[in-house]
Amino acid sequence: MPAHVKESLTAPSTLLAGYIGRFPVDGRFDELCAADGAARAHWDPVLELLGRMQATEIETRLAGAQQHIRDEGITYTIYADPQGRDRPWALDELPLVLPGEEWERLSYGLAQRARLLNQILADIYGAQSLLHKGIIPPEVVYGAGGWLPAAFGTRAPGDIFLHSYAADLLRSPDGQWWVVGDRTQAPSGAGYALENRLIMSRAFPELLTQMPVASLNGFFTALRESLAFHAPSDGESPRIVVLTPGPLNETYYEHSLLARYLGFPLVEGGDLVVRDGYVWLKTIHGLQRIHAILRRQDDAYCDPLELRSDSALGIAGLTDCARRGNVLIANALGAGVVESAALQGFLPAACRALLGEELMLPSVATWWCGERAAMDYVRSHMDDLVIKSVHGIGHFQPIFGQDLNAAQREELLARIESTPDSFVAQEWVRLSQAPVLNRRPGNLKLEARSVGVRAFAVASAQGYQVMPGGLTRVESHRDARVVSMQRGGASKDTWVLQASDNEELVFPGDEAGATAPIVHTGVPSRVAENLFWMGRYTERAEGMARLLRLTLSERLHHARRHGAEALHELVWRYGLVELPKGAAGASQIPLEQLIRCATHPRHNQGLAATLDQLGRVAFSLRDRLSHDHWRAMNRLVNDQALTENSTLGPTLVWLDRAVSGLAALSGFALDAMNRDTGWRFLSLGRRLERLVLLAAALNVATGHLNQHGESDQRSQSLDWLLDLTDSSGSFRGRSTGMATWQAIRDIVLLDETHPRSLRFQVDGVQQALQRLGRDTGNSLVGLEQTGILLTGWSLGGFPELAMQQSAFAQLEQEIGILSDLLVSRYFSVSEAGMAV
Amino acid sequence: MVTLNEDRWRRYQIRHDTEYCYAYAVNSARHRAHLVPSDHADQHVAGYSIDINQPLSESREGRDFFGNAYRDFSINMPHRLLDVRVSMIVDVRAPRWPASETPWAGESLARRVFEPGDQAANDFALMCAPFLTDSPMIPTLSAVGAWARDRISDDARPLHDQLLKITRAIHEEFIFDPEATAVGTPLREVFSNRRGVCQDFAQIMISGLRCLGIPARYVSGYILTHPPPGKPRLVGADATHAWVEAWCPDHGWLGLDPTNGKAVSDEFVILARGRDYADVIPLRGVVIGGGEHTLDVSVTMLPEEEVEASGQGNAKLRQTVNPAGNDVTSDHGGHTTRGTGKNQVAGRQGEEVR
Repeated sequence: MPAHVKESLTAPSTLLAGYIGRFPVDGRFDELCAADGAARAHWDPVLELLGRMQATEIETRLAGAQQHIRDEGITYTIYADPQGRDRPWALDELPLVLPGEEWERLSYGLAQRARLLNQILADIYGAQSLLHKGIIPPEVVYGAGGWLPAAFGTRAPGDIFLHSYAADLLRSPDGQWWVVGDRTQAPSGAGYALENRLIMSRAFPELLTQMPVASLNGFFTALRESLAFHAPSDGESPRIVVLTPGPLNETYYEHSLLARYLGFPLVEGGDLVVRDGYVWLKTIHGLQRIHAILRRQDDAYCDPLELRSDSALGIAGLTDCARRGNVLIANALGAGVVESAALQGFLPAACRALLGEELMLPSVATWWCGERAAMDYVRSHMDDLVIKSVHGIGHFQPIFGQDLNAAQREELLARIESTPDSFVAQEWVRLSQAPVLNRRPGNLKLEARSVGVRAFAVASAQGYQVMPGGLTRVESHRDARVVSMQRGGASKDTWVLQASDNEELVFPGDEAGATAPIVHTGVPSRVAENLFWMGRYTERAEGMARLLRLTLSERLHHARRHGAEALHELVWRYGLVELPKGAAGASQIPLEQLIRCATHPRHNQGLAATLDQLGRVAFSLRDRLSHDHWRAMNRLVNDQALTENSTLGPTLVWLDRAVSGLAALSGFALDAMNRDTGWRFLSLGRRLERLVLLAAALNVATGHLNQHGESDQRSQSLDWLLDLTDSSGSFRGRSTGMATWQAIRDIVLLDETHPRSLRFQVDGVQQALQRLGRDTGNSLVGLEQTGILLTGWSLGGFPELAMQQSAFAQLEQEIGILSDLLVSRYFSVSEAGMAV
Repeated sequence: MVTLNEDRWRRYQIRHDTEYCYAYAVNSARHRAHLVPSDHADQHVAGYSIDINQPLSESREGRDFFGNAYRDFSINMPHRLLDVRVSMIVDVRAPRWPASETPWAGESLARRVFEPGDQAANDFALMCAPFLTDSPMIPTLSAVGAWARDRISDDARPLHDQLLKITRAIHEEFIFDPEATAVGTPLREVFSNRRGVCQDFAQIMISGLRCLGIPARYVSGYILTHPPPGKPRLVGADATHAWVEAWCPDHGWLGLDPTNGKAVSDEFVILARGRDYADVIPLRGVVIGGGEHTLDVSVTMLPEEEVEASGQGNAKLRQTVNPAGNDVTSDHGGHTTRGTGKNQVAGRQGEEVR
C-alpha cells in the first residue's frame, strides 16, 4: 500500500463504503481513490467528518445549502432550458480536494500560460512578428473566429491585453493535468467559485476552519488593484465599471456578484457613451469619465459601430477608444482570438520564441488540419480524436471519431479536406472522476462523475496570480466525455490545501471581503430608473395585496354593504380587473376572479404579475441590495401561494403574508440601503405609487358620497377606507361613532403625521423633488409646473378640494404626468443606440 | 474582351450623397464613412471633399487593418436629417491583364503544408489568409464551392481565364433583382434563389473562390453606367457598386465584376476593400433616438468629358480638398432619382449593370 494511502479508514460509514474500494474503474483517474482503491491521504479530514456523521445530518446540511441557493437566488441560465432564467445554481457539496504541492506546480504553469497568451495577443494586434516568422501560421490567426481586424493597433494600457484568464483543465488516467481550452475573452466562473466557497462555509464550517484551505479573496483583490493600477486615468482617481449584457445573460448572477464584491458599478452598454475618444458613464449627475471596463460580454457585441451592427448591447465607438489607449478594457477587444483550438499546437514554439522558456502546462494534444502531417495523423487515428471547428462550437458541434461508422468517417474526412484550415483534432482524454452526493432521500450515497476544473489567473503588478482553487465542473452522467455547465452539469468547490512550509500559496487578502479603496461613480441613469420602478412596484404590490385582502373579507362578511360595492369599484379603478362587458357594476366581480388577481401567475396586472416585475427590476439591482434584503425579496416573489388553482382560504393567508413581507421590504429600503441620490428615486417611486392608490380610493369614496347624498352618509360605511389606509387605529383613538366623512377627511387627507395620508405623501414628494434637484444640479423645469397642483393641495387647498371627486381624478392624472417627466428628465439618456 | 493596359488615364467626377431622414429627432449619432478613396496602382485621387449638413462634435480620419481610409464623425445636436455629400475627382486606368499562360487544373492556392521557415509561403499566407476563410458575412458554403468548380471543371486554361468564366457564369445564371434581397440576407438564401444585387453576387463569388482555395476579397466602389442609346444620363441614378478581387499567382489581385460578367476596366473606381460588405459599409452609424428612418442614396459618376460638356462640374471641387462650408451647390435640379435605401448597392440604369 502506498504511503499516502491511510489505513485507519477501515470502517468508514456505509456512505463511504459504497465508493472507496470500488473505484477507480475503466482505467480512469479517480480523485478520491488511488489505483489500489484506497482513499488518498489529502481527503482524510473530509472523510473523517463524513464518516462521523449520520446520514440524516448530512441530508439536513445539504438541504440547508440548497435552501440557501434558492433564497439567495443564485442562478445560472441554460439557454435551451424552458425553465429559462431562474434555474438554480447546481452545486455538489462534496468538494474536490487537491494537495498544495500539486496545485503549486499547476499554478506556475497557468501563470506562464497566461503570460504567453498575453504576449501572443500583443503580437497579433501589433508587430505580428510571430506571423511574419511563421512561428504561428497566419492562417491559424486569421481563420480563428475571434480575430478582430478592428483591434489591430490597440494600445493596451500597461501592455496587458489579458487581465483575466481561465483554463479548462482535465486530468488524464496517469494523473497528469492538461489544458483542454483557454478562455480569454470574458472568462466566467470565478464569481461562481467564490459563491461555492460561501455556500460551503455554511454547509461544512468545521472543515473549512480545520483544514488549511486556501482563501480565494486575494485573487479578487489582485484583480481590483490591477485594474485600478493600469487604468489610464490621467491623474484622476480611476473609475471602473463591470459591463454586463444584462439580466438575460447566462451568468448575470455572477456579474452582479462580481460588481458587488469588487465594489464597481454594474452597467450595461446603454449606460456608457463615447465622446471625444473617451468612455463616459451616463449618471443622473451628468457624464462621468470611465477609465477601465471589466467586461462580461463577448468581443463582437461590444461596439455596434465597428463590430456587430446588430448588437444592442454595445457602446458605439468603444473600439476606437481602445485603439487609442484611452480606456482599459479587461480583456482587450479581440482577446478571443487565442481561444482558438488551432493555436494550441503552436504554443510550445511561441513560448520559446517570446519567453525563452519551455511551456510548462501542456494542451491536450491538438492537430491543426491545415498541416499535412497533422491531416495524415487525423486520417489514421480517428477513433482516438475529437474533431472541432476552429470557428467554435457555434459553427460545428465537436464530433467523436469513435462514434462514426465507415461512411460517416469518410464523409467527415472529405469535409475536413475541403477546408482543412477550419478544423482541429484533439486527442480524446478519458476524464478523471470524483465522488458526488446522490441526494435521493433516505438513500444517500456516493457516485462517480466525470470532472474538469476551470482555473483562473489575473494580471497583477507582480505578474499573473493564480486563484488557489477554481470551479470544478461535474457532468450529469458518469461516462460523459466532456464537461459543460451549459449541458446541465453541476459544480463543486475546489479546495487547495496549503502546504504548511509553503508561504507562496498564501495570498494576501481580507477574509471579510474586499477592502481596497473604491472609486465612486455617480448613480447610473439606468440604476436610478430601476430604483424608481422598484419603489413603484413594491408599493403597488402592497396596495394590491391590501386592497384584495380587504375586498375579499368585506365580501365574505358584509356582502350587501356599501363598502363592498366601493371596494369592487376600486379594484376595477386600480386596474386589477377589467369590467366584463355589460356588467351592471363593479360589484359583479366574481370571487374566482379576485382570487386569480391575488394568486394566478399569468393574470395580467394582478399581484403575481406585479411581484414578477418587482423581481425582475430587483434582479437587475442585485449589486445594490444586501443579502438579507435580496433573500426577503426572493422569498416573496417566489412564494408557493402563487399558483394557478388557488382557493379562498390559502389566498387570504397568502395576502396576510404578502402584506407583512412587503412591509419588511420597506424596512430594508429604509434601513439597509445607502441613502444616496439613487435611493431618492426609490423613495419617490413609493410615494407616487401610494398617491395613485390614495387618489383612486378617494375618487371612489367621494363618488359614492356624492351619489348617495350627504344626508345618507351616516349609513355609508367608510370603514373600508380607514382599513385600506391603515387608519382605523388612529380613528378609534379620536372617535367612537361611525366613520363620517368629516372625521375620515381629518385623518386620511389632512393628518401630517400619518404616513398613509394624502398630505404626508404630497409633502414628501415636494421635498424629494427639491432634494433631487439640489443633489443632481439638474434643473427641474417642468417638474415644478406639475408641482403646482400638488403645492395647491399642500397649501390649504384641502378643505375646498376635499369633496370634489374631479379633484382626485385630476390628481391621478397629475401623478402620471409627474412620473413621465421624471422618466424623461433623468432616465431617458440610458436609451441604447440603434444601428442605422 | 481582354483589356490591355495602355496607360491611358481617364478622369471621373463622382458625387455620392447619403441622406438619413428620421421620424423623430436623433439626440446623438456616431458614424463611420468608408467613403474615402485611396491611391492604388491604377487609381489616383485628384480631388476630394466630404460635407455634412450638421455641426460635428468629432471628426477624424483613420486607416483600417485592410489599408482603407475612413472618416469617423459624431453629432451631438438633435437632428432629423443627416445629409452626407461626398465629391471626388479620380483618375483611373485599366488594370493589366495577366500574361501567364500556365494552365490551372483547379488546385487550391492555399498552402496545405505548413513548414516553419518557408518564408515565401508564409508571406503569401500573411497577405491572403484573411481572404481564404469564413468572414462575418461570407461563410464558405460547400454548395457554392461545388457550383464554382462545376463551371471550370472541363478545361485547364490559365487561372485568370477560369476566374472570368465564373464571373460570367454568375452574370448569366443569377437574376438582378433589388427586391429579392436586403443587406442582411444570408448567402445561402441568395444562392438558392439565384437572385440579388451586386453585393450578393460579389459575396457568392467570393464564397465559391474561397472554397476552391483562391483568396478573394470584396471591393466597394463605383462603376460608370451607360445610358440606353439616345437617352441622356440621369444624374443621381447611379449607385455604389461591389465586385471581387481574386488572387492570381505571378500577377496579383485581379478585379472581376460578377454583376456585369466582366473584368474590371477603366470604368471602375475603388472606395474600399475588405473580407466582405461588413468591412467596408459606405456609411454606417449608431444613433440614439430617431425612431423609423428612410435612407436615400444618390450617386452620379461622370466622365470628365461629360462634365465639361454638361457644365455640371463643380468648380469648388477642382480647387480644394475638404473645402469649408457645406454647400456643394444644388445642381441636381428636379430630375434627381434616388435609390430606395434598402439597396445601397445596386446599379439601376442602363444596360451595363443589370
